[in-house]
Amino acid sequence: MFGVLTTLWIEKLITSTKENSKHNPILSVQNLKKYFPIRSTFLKRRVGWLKAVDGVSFDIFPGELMGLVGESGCGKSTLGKTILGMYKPNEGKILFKDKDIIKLSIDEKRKMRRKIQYVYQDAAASLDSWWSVGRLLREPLVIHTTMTRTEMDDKVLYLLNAVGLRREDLHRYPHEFSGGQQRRLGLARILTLNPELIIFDEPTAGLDVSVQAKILKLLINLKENFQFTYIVISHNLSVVRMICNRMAVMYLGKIMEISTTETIFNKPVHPYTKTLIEAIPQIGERKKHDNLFLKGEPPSPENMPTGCRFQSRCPFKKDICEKIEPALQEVETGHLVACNL
Amino acid sequence: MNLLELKDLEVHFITDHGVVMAIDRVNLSIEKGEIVGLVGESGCGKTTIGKSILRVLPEPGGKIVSGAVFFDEKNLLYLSEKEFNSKVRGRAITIIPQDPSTCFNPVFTIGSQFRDIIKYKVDSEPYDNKRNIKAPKRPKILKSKARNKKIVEMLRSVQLSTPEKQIHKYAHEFSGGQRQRIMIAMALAPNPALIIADEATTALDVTIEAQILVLLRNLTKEYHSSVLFITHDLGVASEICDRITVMYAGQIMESAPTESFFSSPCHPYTRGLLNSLPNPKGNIKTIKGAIPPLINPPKGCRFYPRCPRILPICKEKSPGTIEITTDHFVRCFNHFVD
Repeated sequence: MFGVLTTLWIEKLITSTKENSKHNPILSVQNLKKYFPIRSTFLKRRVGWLKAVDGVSFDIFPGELMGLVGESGCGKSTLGKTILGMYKPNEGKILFKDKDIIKLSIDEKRKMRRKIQYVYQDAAASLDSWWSVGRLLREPLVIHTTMTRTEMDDKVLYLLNAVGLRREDLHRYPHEFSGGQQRRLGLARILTLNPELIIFDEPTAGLDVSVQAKILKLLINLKENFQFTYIVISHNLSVVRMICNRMAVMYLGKIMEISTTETIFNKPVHPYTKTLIEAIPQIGERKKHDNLFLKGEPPSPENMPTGCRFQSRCPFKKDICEKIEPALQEVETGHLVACNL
Repeated sequence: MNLLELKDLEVHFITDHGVVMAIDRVNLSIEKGEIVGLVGESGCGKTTIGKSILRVLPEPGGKIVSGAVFFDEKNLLYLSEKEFNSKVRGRAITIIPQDPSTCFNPVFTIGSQFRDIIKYKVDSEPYDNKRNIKAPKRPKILKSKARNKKIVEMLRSVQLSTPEKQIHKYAHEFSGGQRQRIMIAMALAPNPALIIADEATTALDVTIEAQILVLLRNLTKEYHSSVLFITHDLGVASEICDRITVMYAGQIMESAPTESFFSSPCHPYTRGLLNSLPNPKGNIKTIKGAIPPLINPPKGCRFYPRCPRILPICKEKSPGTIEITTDHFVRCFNHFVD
């Protein structure tokens, strides 16, 4: 049955992307910058900037599944949270349906917020341990809608069903659930307000493969039933490869390569993408390409090198990389790479 | 010759709700210089095996009920606590813990914690029963300079840059990958015969993970150590292990050399695990249900409630372990044959 669903889903995706190419992007991020001040211990004077997100631009079209990949500390989560409005960006625009989110009034922002939802990495910590599941799921409805109690109960039950939990679970508390079930709960809570864009922060980190498979299946099914747009932030490339149709590779606050998942995995252009793909543990084969073996760790974002930020670890580094910071350039249609070579 | 051999090991946890049969008659052997992977879902008893080898089961409650742990042909369970602590724990068998950030003491520098290991586990004479009458020999007092030299040498072998400066730093000043490297250096310092790596790379990025795996492989070759590599990632296990053992609900379900494990997995559970790995085609298959409670596990085979190849006999009788090809063991009545 699942095979049929996936083929249907792929067909739907193809038709939807065809349609979408005419439409405007649902979310357009333009030259977004988020710097955190580094303060001295004594007078709390600003001594520098930590450039968490440093000039990121991309578009997402309705119905698209966008993956955001990179090592820890590269600014993936900061980017997600800035889009949500939890951080105020230092520069740049975030256009959600052609409206700049940053410049909205508080009232407008509140209305907008239910359209963009964020699924947290630590599901257990994002659920109030003193509240029962029923109360947790009703809360967004109480705040954002004028539903009656019975309507709410119906909706909550429907959502519990959609994420694969049972009616009896309504009266249980978050700690009584396993890690995978807690993720499902977080998902149900997000779905209550019919969002249009969902940002998943590490949807399967810390789960067993068997549980991870179930969550991935659920994500795909939900997408199919409710027509969402996803941004999936993850460091697990195989997960992104499986569920996303487009992906961006981030390194130290900048997008290094952005294209469809197919092209990135089949013919990556940027050396960083190549090394990342090479580093995925594969069954049945040991590492072959020694020159594609990434040495060391990313430099601290506090003092970025001049020129290309990947130069310190790049296996193909040349003199030009120390001087010029490469901009995102199109190598094929829809395939953008930031590399001098 | 087997370096470590678990024979019918059975571990119970006594809780308020009843007795949890965490490990149920597990047989496992590790040869000298071999890297054995222990794979399974969380809660299946992987870590408990590691802890029972080192005799650090949580107290009160955790108890080795029956069975034996042979290490160098001696049963570790018969050693006195004092002898075990001075000869085996941290000396012949060391552990790389799951979460390196919580295992360091935050108020001491890395160097001072490392010096303790050198002092008590490398320089000092192991406690001996025969000399018990006399006062136990005190640790040799080496100049801390000499110890520092050894520490710097160890840290350099795990490719930590400028180790002379790093030993004066505290644990929080390092990144996750660096902390893991320091932990590996600490585990290798006493030149152990066996290292238990408990999810040693789980918290790391793929790039750092790949580095650590290569490092661990090379170092264990250099030091002739064996490794019990506990992980839930089959991809990682495939890259580093010589042999893979799959656990489910406290029992070993399948055990085979890495190549034949992946070329012809026989147990339905192993197949289920392999099928639930994310793949580019998107045809992911899941194992239905969840791990059974271990307080009263299902009668018969512990996997039967989730098994796609169930036979009537599975509900009645627990299957024994059979060898299908050389060195490939399966615990199933209706295993795959191909």
